[in-house]
Amino acid sequence: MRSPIQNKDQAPPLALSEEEDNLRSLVEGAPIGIYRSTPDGRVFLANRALLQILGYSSFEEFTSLNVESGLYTPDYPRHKFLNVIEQKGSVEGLEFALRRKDGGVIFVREYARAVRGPDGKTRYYEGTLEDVTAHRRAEEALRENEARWRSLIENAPEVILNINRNGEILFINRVLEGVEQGKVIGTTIYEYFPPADVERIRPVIEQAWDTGRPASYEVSGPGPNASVTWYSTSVGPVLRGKRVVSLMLLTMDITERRRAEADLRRQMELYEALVTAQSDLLQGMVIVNPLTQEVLYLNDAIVQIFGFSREEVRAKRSFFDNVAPEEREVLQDRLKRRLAGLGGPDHYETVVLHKDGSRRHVEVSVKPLDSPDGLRLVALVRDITERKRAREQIQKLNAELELRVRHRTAELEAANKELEAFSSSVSHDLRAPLRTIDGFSQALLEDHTAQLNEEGRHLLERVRHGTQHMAELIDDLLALSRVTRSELRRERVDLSALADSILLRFRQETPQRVVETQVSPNLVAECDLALIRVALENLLNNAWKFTSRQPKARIEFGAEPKGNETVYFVRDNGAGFDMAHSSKLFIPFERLHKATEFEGTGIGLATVQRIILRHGGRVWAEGVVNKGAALYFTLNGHRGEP
Amino acid sequence: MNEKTILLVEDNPDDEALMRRALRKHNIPARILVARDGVEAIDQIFRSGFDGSLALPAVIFLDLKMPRMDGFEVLRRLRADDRTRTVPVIIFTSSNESQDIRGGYELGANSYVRKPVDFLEFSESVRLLAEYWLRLNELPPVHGELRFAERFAY
Repeated sequence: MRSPIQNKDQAPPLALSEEEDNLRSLVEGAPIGIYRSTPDGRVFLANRALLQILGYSSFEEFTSLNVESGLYTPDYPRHKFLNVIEQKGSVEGLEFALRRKDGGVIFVREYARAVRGPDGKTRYYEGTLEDVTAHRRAEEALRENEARWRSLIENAPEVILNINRNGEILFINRVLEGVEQGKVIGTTIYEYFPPADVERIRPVIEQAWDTGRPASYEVSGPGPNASVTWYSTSVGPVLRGKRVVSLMLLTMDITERRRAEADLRRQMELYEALVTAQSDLLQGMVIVNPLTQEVLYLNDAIVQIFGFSREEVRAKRSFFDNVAPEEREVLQDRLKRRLAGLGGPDHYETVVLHKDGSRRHVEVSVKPLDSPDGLRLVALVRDITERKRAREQIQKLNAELELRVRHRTAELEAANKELEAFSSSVSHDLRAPLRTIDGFSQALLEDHTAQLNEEGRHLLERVRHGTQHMAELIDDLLALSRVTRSELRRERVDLSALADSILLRFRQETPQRVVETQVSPNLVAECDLALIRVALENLLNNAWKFTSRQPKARIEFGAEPKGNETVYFVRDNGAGFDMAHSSKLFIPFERLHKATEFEGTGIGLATVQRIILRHGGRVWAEGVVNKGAALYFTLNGHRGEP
Repeated sequence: MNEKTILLVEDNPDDEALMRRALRKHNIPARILVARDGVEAIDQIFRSGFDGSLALPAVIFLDLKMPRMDGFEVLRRLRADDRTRTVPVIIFTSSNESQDIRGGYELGANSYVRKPVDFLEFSESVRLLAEYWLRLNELPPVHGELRFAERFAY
């Protein structure tokens, strides 16, 4: 009986039996490919499965194939297969690629043997072929996956361990410093920790194993430069089904994180301290969200300023609710500008509402802050209500004061003017009666000489003297009052020339007098010309007067430098005075000589003193009775030119 | 009437008496007219003569401080009118205030005398001034010479 799959031309026919039929159908129906091929590569037996695997619809199609080129691929040429099978007589589980009819490449696993004849030569090969493409792909994928994970684990910065419940290290992804790689596996993790840490870690590990739930712990170890290194370990149970078969430990160096945390904590503490200190200083601080107008943070001082508790402030919808109504628009506008990036004033004053309804003036400093959650505004707020009130008070006081000063000045000016007018009209009015007295006394003397005897004439002369003296008094008083009232106008005055002219006039008025005068030349000073003239006239007049009894009268005007001042003097060798009474010299009307000795009003020196004082200078006198006197004066400490 | 006139403008009767006395003492040849204040003075001066022209005094002795109208106003009016512009005016006053002196000269006074209390001094000033101005006006008022006189008067 011929097999329908046998090639007529090949192989010797085998005896058929029922067993063979069964075998044939077994072969034919087998789920894996079965074949027989000649040593030169011609397949003369191929079951349905094989054809299916290779994508051929019929045996005829397949058998006409050139196996070398049509079946094998360049990576897996036939001769490799041949090498193995010839050498070993069989191949077992050889995996290689084959080409299908449609050109696609598949992977197959082959078991084959070489059937040899009695001469030892291979008569044919026979074997099985399994399509393991999918399988292989899955394997490859798995391998790739595994490689990827391995790479991840091995290159991870963290130390990754795989341990069992006892802490035995089953796997470690890297070399631990100071520990030989090979020596790690099999040791327990507890060997690497101090006992205190072990006590802490062990329960965590065991609990993770028992509960199948992840856990973590932190340990510290010595770091470089005697610092401390901190580690955080995550414990992850590896489950197979519901059972924990091992634990994965992932250890991270968290030293930096801890340091950052410590820094942050320190900063927070500092911040808190600062904020509290500001509260102590009554510096209110509030942080707001400009977009939502929420108050995010406020310190105690703010509570004081507004009178609301923290909760009450927070409860308000917007921080504008605390701002006085008339100020809201301005501030809202500013906020808009700030949000639009246009910036705004960082420092300003505004008005807020206290809980009790009162208005408080506050000084605000605003600083924008970029926080991770968005723009924030930090506002430092200080209650300046009192300060403002005080300021306003001061301003009001100042204004009042200024007004008062102006009034007073106007009053003074008016008073001065009045005084001026009064003085001149007084002098005018006082002189008129004196004229009358003098005039009519003289008339008496002239017209009624016959009726008057010597004594009578004498009496009238005394009347006339009296009136003239009074006239002088009036003039001197007028001059004295003028000295005080007039404005000092300083200019360069040639004192020498002034003294010369005054003395010259005296000579002209009383030519009979013989007086030796000496005036130092080029004495120049910054002073009021009119006033200094009056002063010098008085001083020189005194000298002229009091030397009238001297046969060899001598008057000197000069200056001496003393320190950084120039001291001017008028010296005479006349009657002098008793130094005991020198304090009276400058008092108006006080006279140190009898009117019979020397006439005078007693006002002259008072006038001189006033003039010198107005210049800021000093005046004093020295005298010796019957030897002479010297009057000294300075003009406000400015050094005149010698 | 060829007699010269001195117009005395003075409100104080004692001063008037003393002035008269001084003029008499020195035999000043002039008729003395008195006006008690500025208003009277203006009246007197601007009262026209029979022929319509003004009978002007040879010299005016003018006090400054007077009621109703003071000496400055009188002087101002005198100098403002062409007819009286050249009349010599001597200010006799108590005031020695520099602004009064300046004012007097600015307004066109010919002299300024502070009335001394001493009568002898006073009568001497009066003599000097009266003689001077009276004699000056003795020159015939020829046009050219009037000009010359004007220069002196002003």
